[in-house]
Amino acid sequence: MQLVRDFRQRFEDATLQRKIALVMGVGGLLVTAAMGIAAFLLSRQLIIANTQSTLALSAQQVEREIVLKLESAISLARSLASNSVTANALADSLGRSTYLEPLFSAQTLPFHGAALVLTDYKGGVVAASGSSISGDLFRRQLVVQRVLERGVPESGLAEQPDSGGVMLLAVFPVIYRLTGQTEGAVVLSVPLTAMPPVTSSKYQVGLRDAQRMLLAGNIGSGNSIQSALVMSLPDPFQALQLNLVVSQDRTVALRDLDMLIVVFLVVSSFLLMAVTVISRAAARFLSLPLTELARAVERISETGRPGPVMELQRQDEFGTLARAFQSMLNRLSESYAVLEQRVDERTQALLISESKLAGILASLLDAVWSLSPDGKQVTYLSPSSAGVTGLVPEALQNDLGVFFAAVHPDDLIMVREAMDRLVERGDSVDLEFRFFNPIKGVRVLQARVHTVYDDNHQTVRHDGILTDVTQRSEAESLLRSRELYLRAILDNFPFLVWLKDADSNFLAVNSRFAEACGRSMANELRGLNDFDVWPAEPAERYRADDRAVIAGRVEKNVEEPCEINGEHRWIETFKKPVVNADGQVIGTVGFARDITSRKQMEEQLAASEERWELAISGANDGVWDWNLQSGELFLSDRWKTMLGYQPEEISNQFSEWETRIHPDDVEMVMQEVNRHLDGYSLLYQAEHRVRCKDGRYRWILARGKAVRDADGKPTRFLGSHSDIDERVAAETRLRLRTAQLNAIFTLSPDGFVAFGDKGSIEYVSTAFTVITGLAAHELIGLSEGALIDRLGGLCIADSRGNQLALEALRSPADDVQQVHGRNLLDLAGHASRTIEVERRRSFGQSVSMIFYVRDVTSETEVDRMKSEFLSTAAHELRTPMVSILGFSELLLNSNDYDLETVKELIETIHRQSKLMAAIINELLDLARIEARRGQDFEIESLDLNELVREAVQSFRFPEDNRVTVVHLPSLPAVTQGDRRKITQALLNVVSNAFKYSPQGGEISIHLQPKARSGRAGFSIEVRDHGLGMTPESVARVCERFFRADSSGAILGTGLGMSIVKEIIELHGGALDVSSVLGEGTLVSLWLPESAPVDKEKAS
Amino acid sequence: MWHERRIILVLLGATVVSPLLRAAGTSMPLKIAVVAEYGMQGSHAAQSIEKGIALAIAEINEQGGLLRGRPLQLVRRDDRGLPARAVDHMRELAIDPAVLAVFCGRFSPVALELVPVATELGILLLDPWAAADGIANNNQKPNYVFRLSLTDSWAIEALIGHARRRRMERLTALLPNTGWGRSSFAAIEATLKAKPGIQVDAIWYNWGDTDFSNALISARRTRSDALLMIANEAEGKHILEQVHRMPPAERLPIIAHWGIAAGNFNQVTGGLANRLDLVTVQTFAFSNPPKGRQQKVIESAERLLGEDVRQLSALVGFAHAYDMTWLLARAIEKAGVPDRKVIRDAMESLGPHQGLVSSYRRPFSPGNHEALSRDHVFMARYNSDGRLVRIEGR
Repeated sequence: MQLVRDFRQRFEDATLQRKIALVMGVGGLLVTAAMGIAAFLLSRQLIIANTQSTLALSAQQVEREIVLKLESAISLARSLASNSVTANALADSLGRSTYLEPLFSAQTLPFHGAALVLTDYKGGVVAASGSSISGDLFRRQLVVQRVLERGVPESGLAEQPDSGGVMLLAVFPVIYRLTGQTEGAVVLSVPLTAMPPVTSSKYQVGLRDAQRMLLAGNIGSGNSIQSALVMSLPDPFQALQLNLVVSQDRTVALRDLDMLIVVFLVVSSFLLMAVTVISRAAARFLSLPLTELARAVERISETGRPGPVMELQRQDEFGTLARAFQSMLNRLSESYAVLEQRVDERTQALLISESKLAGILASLLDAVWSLSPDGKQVTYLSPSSAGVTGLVPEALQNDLGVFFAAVHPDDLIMVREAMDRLVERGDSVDLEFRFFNPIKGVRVLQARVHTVYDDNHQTVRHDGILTDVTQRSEAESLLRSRELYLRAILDNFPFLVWLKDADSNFLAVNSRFAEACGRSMANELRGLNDFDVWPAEPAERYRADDRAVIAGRVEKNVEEPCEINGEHRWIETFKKPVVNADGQVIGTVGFARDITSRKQMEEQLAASEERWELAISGANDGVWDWNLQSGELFLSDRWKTMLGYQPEEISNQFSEWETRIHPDDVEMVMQEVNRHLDGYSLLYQAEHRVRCKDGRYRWILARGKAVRDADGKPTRFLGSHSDIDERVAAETRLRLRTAQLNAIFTLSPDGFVAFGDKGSIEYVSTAFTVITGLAAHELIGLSEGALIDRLGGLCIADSRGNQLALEALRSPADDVQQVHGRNLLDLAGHASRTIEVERRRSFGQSVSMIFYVRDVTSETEVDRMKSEFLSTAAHELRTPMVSILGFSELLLNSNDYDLETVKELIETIHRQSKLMAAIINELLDLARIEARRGQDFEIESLDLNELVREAVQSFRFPEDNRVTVVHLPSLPAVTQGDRRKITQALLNVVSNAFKYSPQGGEISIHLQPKARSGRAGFSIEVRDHGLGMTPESVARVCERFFRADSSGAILGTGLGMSIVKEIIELHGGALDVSSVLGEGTLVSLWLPESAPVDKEKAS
Repeated sequence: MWHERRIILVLLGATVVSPLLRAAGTSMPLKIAVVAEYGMQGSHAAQSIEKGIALAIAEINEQGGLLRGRPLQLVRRDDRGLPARAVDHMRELAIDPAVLAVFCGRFSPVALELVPVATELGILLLDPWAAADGIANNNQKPNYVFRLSLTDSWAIEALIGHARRRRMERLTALLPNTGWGRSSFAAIEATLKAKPGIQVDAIWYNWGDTDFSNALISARRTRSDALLMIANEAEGKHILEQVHRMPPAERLPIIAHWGIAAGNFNQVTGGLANRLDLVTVQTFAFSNPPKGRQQKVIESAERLLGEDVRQLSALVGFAHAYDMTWLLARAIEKAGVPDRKVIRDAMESLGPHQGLVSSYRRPFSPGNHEALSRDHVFMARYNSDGRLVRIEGR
């Protein structure tokens, strides 16, 4: 009680602020407690509900997990059951462990302790994925038996053999492919204990059967929160009813609530503290205005001045009170403020005008000053005076003498007088004078002073301005000198220059202009116009030009002839508008110059161009002009017509030229062009072909020269095309002709030496060098005499004939017709030759004389042989003839011979006559054969077999020990020929064989086919084993009257083999003789098969 | 269908007759079992074997049975081609002492599995078809297995011999990944080792495979001259179809083991077996016209089974089983008692026998349980009627 009373007493004693705070604090505490209790109860209910739904979700998750794992295990089992390897293993028991065991043990199942088992048709284990399963584990299982029986997958629960737990079985039939029967099963066994996932710390998972019997896992005590669901298992487990229970211990679930309570206590204590603070603030808020009012009243009473009290924007009673108080105070304050403001405004205006004046004076460059009425004292001096005078203002203010001391002595009097006039008469002063500024040096100052009077016309003071006009006066003198320069420039300008205003009045002209219009001074023309200085007609034109320039704001440039001082001149006039800064035309400026000399030059140039034109059109050459800078190409009409084009058919383009050059010449032409343009040749010159309009190519001689600028760089390239087609054609013909002649001379068996018009050798033909053995280079340039000496050197020296011939050649023989006879020279050397040398003089332009030599060796040889033959024949005939003559003379001259002797003599004569007759016959034969060259042959098809046979039969063989063997081929050997002649040839050979083998030995005649030089033919070989011949004799065997036997023991004419050779060769055949002395001879007559005897000869 | 019904009628007849015989004072029937792959698509081997046994039994029973009038009776079990079933059937059959012998079917894996079981049970296992070498030529002591058929070795020898005669140098062998395939491969290796000159590239496949294009591509890449096909009808059909799909110039000749010959392969392949260059091995075919023993068998079958056995598609099964049944009957007679062990011993010492396939001088001996020899193997080709016709050999 006492405590309550104490409390009450203390409450009543407390300030208003405390009371309010206390009441609010206690209220807050009560409210917080009530809310706390309510929240606790609500949360507990929510947590239990939340836990239950969480468990339901977990149950679904667990179920999903189990189902997924089961599905994967089932699909494994199914695939194994349908795998052909599995079925085959059942049908092929031996050795199946090698592949079945790896197959099954390779299967990994998602459940610990789960197994896949292959059973046989009775349920016996064949293979298993885990080693723990074996034997007849499944034989007793009803579900396995049902599957083996029905062949449909099934499932069931079974007791685990070892642990006594429950396992889930899924059985899949294995169907044997060939019979379609179930022959085994794949069993998937999953221990139920392995099915729930690892139990979380938060909840337990259990499996119950339909009778709520716990099969696996844990479902906690009765004091737990549970959530159960019936699992929907995949095929083939649908039939099984398994309940999944997820539970959580209640204490565990509510552990969160304890935490919540702690948090609540902490939060509510903070809340209470906040309430206390707020209640204090509220109490202060309520009591504050009263306190403030009290203080304000105290303050006003202290200071006696109203002032702002407080700002209470509240609508309550405190606010109303405060506002009333405040408005009262405001009124007082306002009247104070009005008074103070007026004083301030005045003061401000004064200050502003003062500062303005000071600013103006300070900013002035000119010095402003005031003098006392007597002019002795400076009453005011602006700050700028220091800059103008360079003197200290104080010094000047004290003593005006300082000022005068600085005035230039020459101007001092003038200044003094002006000052005096000012003071005495009140004259305004305006004068310029030089003044020595101690800082800037001598300056020109302008002083302007006037007197200020009061209303009574009494002098008040003299006000003045002192200005530094040094710069201005300098500028003025500069301007004057510049004008002089300009005038000098204008007057010295070689042109006429003028400046006109917008109305075409002259503003300024130069002295030349004045001169041109006959005035002595340029100034005179100022203000005049064109009509004043020029005749009316040009003046009118100039005026019009001016107007055009002004109106069009364009330049005008006119060249016109003009009559100046009686001379005919050309004047070029430029006119330009003069525009001021605003863009207005204020006049014109113009200048004119005398261009007479340039005009004259142009005329000369035009004349020369005309001539050039004339040259282009008149010359037979085409002209081209290539501007290397613009790339433009000018081609003259003749250039184009030369190629068969009309002038307008070819444009002036570089390609027109380039593309028409013959492809074979392009490279050469371009090379030449570049060579010239690069400065390697003085003149461009090229002969090349250019394509004409008709596609033919024409030979052109192109000549050109580049025009170069100061740097030597080519700027233009011009030249001409000459048509040289005819010339080139002529050259070609000439070249061909020369080639032909060369060929003729080269191939001619006769040698030629040609002497030029200077009498020296210019040409030596190949044949000449071959015949004489002299090289061409040794001979070129030799004179006639030297050539004869050379020839002489080749000759056999001691031959009289040579001497005569050489002399004949040396003798001058001008007459072409003169016949020297034949000049034959026998040349020395191992192959002795005879040459005939002849000389012809020519009156041609280039050839003065020709020597030609002919190799007459064979000709002379034939002559020699002929005479040799004649002498041999004569000798051969003379031998019997001598006998005949001798013996016949004996008979004629003597009669005392007995008959015996006479007969003997006559026999000798007869024998010798027969020999002679034989010789003559054979000579005749030979002569006939040679002369007729086979023309009297009776050509027919001959079988040589037959011919040889007949010839041998008809031959009268000597009756001796010699054996004749004839070999004939089995096939007919047909040839074309004269039967009689060939028989004759053969018999000649055969008789020789007999004649020249007196010692006996076999003689064989051998006919056989034999090709010779690629031609088919037959050879008749006659071989003896007689005397034989030396190689020298073999070489001469066919010579007429040659006889191998020089002893005369063997009779014969020596003509036989010659006849044989003639006959055979005329038949196109060949005669071969080979012989070894002492061993025998082989003569082979070769005739071609069906000998193609020349018709001409044969007919 | 019709034929089967006839067989069933005969069997029914036998079962009806036996009680009568028993009633007449005669003894219980002696039983011969067949454990084979009935109901196998495209295969008539089991039926053909059964027909051979049935004909022999009918002939024997017609002659008054064995062991003083005891009739023979056929017991049939379907192993569906599965060793496990066959083993179970054999164990079950062995319980009945009247069952003296068990015939196996065409599948070597099944027969191989039965071999140790036969030894264990002491019951005769007669092999009229399955060709794996290890079936009769096993290491069992005593050996209860007797074969009247060809072996993989002989078949492979004949096939490779055929290739040699055709001057082939390189073959691509298609081998199933089974006991049969491994046995054949061993035979190939042995044959080539004994007489080289041909190169064989092995390509292994699994039963049930349908795509053999890789093998054909490989064969073309290695420029093989022919395919050496170790396959049954199902795979053989696919192989032929895929060979036929190639351009005519690239179609390889096919030299096939007789696995394809257990059904009407030409019909199965839509005539491809005839149209393609396909040869296979056989041990028996009726000569045309049939003579001697063949003629008698045809007549006997006509009379007792009411059937033209020349129309059978798996003819070797019939012929082998027929001869084997007669050999068994001779052994039973020789043993004089229905004791399996004594009969086994009698089998090893049988005298000459004039059979359908061959005329046996001494069918079996303790060291040789093969009634046939490599000389019985010949090459055959399908004619347009789908019958196998001998082309060369023996």
